[in-house]
Amino acid sequence: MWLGIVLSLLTMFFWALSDVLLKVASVHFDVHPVLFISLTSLVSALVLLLIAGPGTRGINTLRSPHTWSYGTMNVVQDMSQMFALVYVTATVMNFMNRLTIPLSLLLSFIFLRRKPNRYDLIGVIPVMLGLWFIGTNISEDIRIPALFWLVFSAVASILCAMIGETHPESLAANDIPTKARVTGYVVMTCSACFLLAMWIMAAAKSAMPEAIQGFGWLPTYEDFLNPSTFLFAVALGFTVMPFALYFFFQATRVAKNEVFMMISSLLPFMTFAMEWLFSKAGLLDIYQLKTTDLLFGTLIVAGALIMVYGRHKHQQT
Amino acid sequence: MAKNRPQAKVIDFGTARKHVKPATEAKATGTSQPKPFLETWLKNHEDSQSVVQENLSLKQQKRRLEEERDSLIPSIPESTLYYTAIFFGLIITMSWLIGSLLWGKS
Repeated sequence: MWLGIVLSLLTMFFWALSDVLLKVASVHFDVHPVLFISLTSLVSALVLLLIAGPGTRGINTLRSPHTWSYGTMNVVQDMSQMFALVYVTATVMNFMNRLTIPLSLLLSFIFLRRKPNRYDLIGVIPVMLGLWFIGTNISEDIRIPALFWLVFSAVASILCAMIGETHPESLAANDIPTKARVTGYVVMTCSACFLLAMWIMAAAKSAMPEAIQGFGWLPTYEDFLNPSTFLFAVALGFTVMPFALYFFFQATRVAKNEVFMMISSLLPFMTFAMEWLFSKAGLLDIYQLKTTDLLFGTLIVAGALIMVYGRHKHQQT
Repeated sequence: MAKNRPQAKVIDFGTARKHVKPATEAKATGTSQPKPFLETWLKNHEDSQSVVQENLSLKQQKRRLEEERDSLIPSIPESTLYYTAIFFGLIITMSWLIGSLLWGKS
């Protein structure tokens, strides 16, 4: 029980750290979000593969269409978070990421005919209220792009979870090295494909700049050669990301599902603590973050906890 | 002449009936010692079944081979795939490092 809690807390710590470092990278180092996320994912996949060692399930993983859809969604989700972090703090992003709660309830009701229970209905009200108030708290001049990327990230996150739950190789992988290997293959192939696509786009942008004028977010050759992108991505990919994934695998193996979900709903507070420490060290400016954001965030977390309690009670009966 | 005449076959129903075994007796004998026809039939049936199974597995193998041929990912040993992935990841990272060091603007 305690080991599960410790492992879940460690997972939250590394997740919060990676979110705050992504914010630092996007604000201070002028990295290109797509390139940065793709390279970070590639390096962390490389570390995962080195940790896992050679073994089975590689070929089947690559042949599965789930792999490609999951990997693409995973990279898309990370990128949309990175774009959102340009506008909001990591704490607000993590609070707003709880959009997944009402969205997944709605989607599972529409597509899977899964009726929400009493606790789901009670819990979703404070979650929606909290999301509404935090959403309206975002400064008006950046609200639309910020909300766009936050909603996009939440949808990508739900799709990612849905595909991950049905990924045959991922489900068949029972031990940690196999899970790490399967994840490593999935993330590496998709991030490499993204990098290749971005390289082609950069070449196209360089060859015919007039034709690609409307796509300012596409990288240029200079973005590829930005040393900050490389150094920050490699540092994050080598140190934080693989640890986050490793502890996540361990925590979901040791801790009960409800325990992990309960602790993961506390992630925004962990992120806030991390952002506060970074701001004290002068690495981050969190003036955007208001006390009301934290209060409404508490409302979201309370709603999420009610729903977790409902699931726990439902499983006991 | 009459003596040389072949004897006409006369069916003696009484004797014939004596040779007919009761149904239960025949059934019992049949179970303990299968007649050659039944044995052959059973053997042929088993043979045909094994041929059917063999055909099925051949079809499965053919389908798998076709799937593998259609797939972009060739059938290579897992260890080769692993080391290829590691090599590929290292090459991308190293070339990016060299590119940033040589042509990157800090």
